[in-house]
Amino acid sequence: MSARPAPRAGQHLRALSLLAEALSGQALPLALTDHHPARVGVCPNRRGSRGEWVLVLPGSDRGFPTEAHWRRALRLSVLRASLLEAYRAPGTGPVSYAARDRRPRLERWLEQLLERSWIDARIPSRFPGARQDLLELQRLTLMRLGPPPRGALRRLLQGLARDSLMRSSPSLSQPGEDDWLALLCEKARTVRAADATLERCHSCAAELYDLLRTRFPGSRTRLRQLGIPVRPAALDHPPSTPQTRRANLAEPDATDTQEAQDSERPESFHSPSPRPSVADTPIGQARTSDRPLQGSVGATQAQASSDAPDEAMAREDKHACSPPLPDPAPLRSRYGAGAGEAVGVYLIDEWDCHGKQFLPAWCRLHEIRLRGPDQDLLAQVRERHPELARRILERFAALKPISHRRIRGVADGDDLDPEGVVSAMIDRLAGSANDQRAWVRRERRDRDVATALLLDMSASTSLSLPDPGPGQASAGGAAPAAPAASLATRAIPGTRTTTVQGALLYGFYDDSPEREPEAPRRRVIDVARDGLALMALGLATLGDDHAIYGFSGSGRAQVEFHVARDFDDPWQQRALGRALAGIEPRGSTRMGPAIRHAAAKLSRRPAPQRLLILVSDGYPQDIDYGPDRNDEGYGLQDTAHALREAQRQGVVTFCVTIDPGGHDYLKRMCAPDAYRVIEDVHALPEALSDIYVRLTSRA
Amino acid sequence: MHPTAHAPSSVRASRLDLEPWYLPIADEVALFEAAWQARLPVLLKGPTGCGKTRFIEHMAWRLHRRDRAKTEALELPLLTVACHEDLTASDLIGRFLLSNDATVWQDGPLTRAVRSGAICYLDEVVEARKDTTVVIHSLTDHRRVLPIDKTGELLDAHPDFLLVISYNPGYQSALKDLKTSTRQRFVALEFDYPAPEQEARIIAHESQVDRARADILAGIGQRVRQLREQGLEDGVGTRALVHAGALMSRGVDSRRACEVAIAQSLTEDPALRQAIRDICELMLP
Repeated sequence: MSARPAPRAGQHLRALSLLAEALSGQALPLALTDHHPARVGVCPNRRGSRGEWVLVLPGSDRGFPTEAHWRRALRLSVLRASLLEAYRAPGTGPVSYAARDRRPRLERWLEQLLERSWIDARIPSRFPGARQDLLELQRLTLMRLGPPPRGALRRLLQGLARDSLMRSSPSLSQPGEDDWLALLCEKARTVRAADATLERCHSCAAELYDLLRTRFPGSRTRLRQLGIPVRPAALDHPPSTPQTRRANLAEPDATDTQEAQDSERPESFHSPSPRPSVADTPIGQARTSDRPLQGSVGATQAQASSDAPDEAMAREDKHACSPPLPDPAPLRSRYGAGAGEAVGVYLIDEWDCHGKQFLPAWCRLHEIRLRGPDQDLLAQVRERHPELARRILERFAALKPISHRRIRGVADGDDLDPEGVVSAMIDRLAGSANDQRAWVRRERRDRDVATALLLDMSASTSLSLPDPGPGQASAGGAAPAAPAASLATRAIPGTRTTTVQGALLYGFYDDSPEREPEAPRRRVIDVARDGLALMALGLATLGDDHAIYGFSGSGRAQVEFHVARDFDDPWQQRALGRALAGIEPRGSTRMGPAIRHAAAKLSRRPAPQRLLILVSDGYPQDIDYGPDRNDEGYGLQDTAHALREAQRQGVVTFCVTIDPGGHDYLKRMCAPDAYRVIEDVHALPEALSDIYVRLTSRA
Repeated sequence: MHPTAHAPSSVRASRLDLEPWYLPIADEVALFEAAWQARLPVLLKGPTGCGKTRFIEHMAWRLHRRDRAKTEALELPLLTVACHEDLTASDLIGRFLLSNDATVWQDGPLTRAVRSGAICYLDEVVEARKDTTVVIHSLTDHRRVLPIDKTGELLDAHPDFLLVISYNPGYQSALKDLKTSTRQRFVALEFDYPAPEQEARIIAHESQVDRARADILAGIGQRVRQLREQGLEDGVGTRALVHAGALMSRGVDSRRACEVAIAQSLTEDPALRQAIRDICELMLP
């Protein structure tokens, strides 16, 4: 019997987050723990350091009878958390809750237990479909609670947890403890009454805490004797005052924030300490996608703002509490004289998926005119790929419309159509009905498409490629062949790169004894540049409005938006060739602001059909793309949001990636028919033209 | 040969013999009546499926059937045109048709309404070609005339004529937005989805489903609309909830009815659809 593959919780997380938002009426960031199944349902869900709800559930269906059971348990957990958020008074949302609550951990644990008990009592009537799930999860939880633990307090707490899950009172079979447990349970059950409020849960938790404190008085030594771990630092706490009265049992510890997160553990009596988080920063709700500042690259924030319109100044003041953008390094000091000419600076918002809000004017985007060595790059590309260039130009020429079309057989038009009139008369004489469609209309059928090609120019595109196979000698191979040139990881320039899953070691190509020394290897960026050049030739043939952009950067203060050709530029082959020759790998991949800027340019075009094609080689990544550099989710969410914003502006978006692992993240960012993963980098130029033809053939 | 009455599928003439049921949400009925008395053109704004079309049918019945003697009543008090991207000014105003050996002028729905004093309702007017919005300008100011270029006629509007257009602000792209010069000519009534209790009444009435399930459907609608910022710009319309209720009242399993009438029809995003499915499953018994 083969083992069932464990599904990943991440696959369900977006749907669950959406469910939470629908149920609670607010964005509710979720995270899943990877707890042992024994803890499932025992520990209340808790708040993470960023205010997110951490669902205490295993990240896979391990320990559940079926995946469906696991999925329903996740759903129920989301329901509990969402309802609590919906009931919670304004101003006590997850952020303030997590950051400001300095009460002893035991009291908070009791409160969370009672809140769960309270919400469980309300679920069956409000969400009848969850009743069976609730019973099953409660049964599963009871089964996994195990025998009473050592230590009187632990036994009492476990008994209380049992009582919150079942209707009959649990028994501890310990002399004296049953009476205590009965007393605690009696109080705890009051929160299940129909008229109980959430405030009642909180006051009841305080009462239970006081009772336990009465039952277990004394020093920390006494607590240790009861089997309760105590942190030594807490012993130094000053004597109790009215404000710190409850600190006898649990002292706040400001040093161990990780420990503080484990609030679901009743054995660990330490209050959480506030931890700085992104969500703690006051952030306004307003947003503007694309606001130009008339500054220059290298200008400081103050300089840029001083040149901006009043509205922009007011906006800066409004969000003055946001962390200021650091001064960017001058472009030319970063990339040398060939970096191009800066033409404008823009402040762009960014979507914070944790706070579920826009960070206004978060990124400084520098628009730069690309300028490379003076060469006729377009002619060179045609020479390099003669067959492919011919095919692409022919396909594009075939799209070229007839300027006017006469449509016959319409009910109204410019002229009567003699054939239609004769036909109508014959029909009439024959006694049959006719539909009077005897007119002809001349319609102009111009294509009216505006397209922006946006290329990821990050450093990873400097990766050298192995030679294409014999059948792909001129990058004109029709079918994407074996993934000989596939990429699986982002490469650091100058290092040997190893794929993680593809088992293809790029660096080893250089060591191959069969390979003769030859001209410098072509890189990903070179193939992409050729693709853009061929597209430019095809679009010029077709006469479609188009622009060619690239993006790179280093941090939010230095997002670079490179312009090879803008929409209103005259089409000059040599000038475009020179600009395309300036495309070189540099910096990182902050996709969101580049997409927003390109979409803003597109949205100003008069064409009814606007298309943004993003070409990248990996997932969004930057040094400060989100509070945690290793958190891929932040960049993905921002990029996905930027794509949705573009779509709302009437821009059709399409993502092309040459990363074979692209399916994993692109499906989180785009609709299934709005992206394509290209296994073979050499197939990129032809794939681009295919995509363009497909997307615009109905224009 | 007689000219056939040209009635494209996008035009619907309503006799309104029976009262179209409508549950007032706020003061929209009184406002519309006041606008009609002053002969001010009306713009109905609101998301899809929130009851704009039903409202105008109800008002047309109210103004032309309920509040008038039968002798005065128009045969067709409401002419509705579902605008689309191929709709031209000629489709609204009229065209010449062949009749025997001559051409005969055939009024379009707008001209018919202008002559007869009916209400002309242009549904989703921004979907139509640009030239259509120009022809309504002279009808929506003090002139109240309709120039018919092809016949050279300058048609004065009947005293009872009223032009009503609908517009879904969240649905339109920037290119298809209404021009300010057009919008300013109208009194704008904004519609939104009804409160849960009202929506449950509407669902129960329209779909004949029992009130308990109508309440649940209204609750589902309310929760799904919380996802407007997540790709469901329009949320779920009352109409879709009525459809789900209608399936339920005809014996379809509740979950299945919600699946086909709500989850499947709203989105192709798998995660979004799963979330909607979860909402339905949690709320249905």
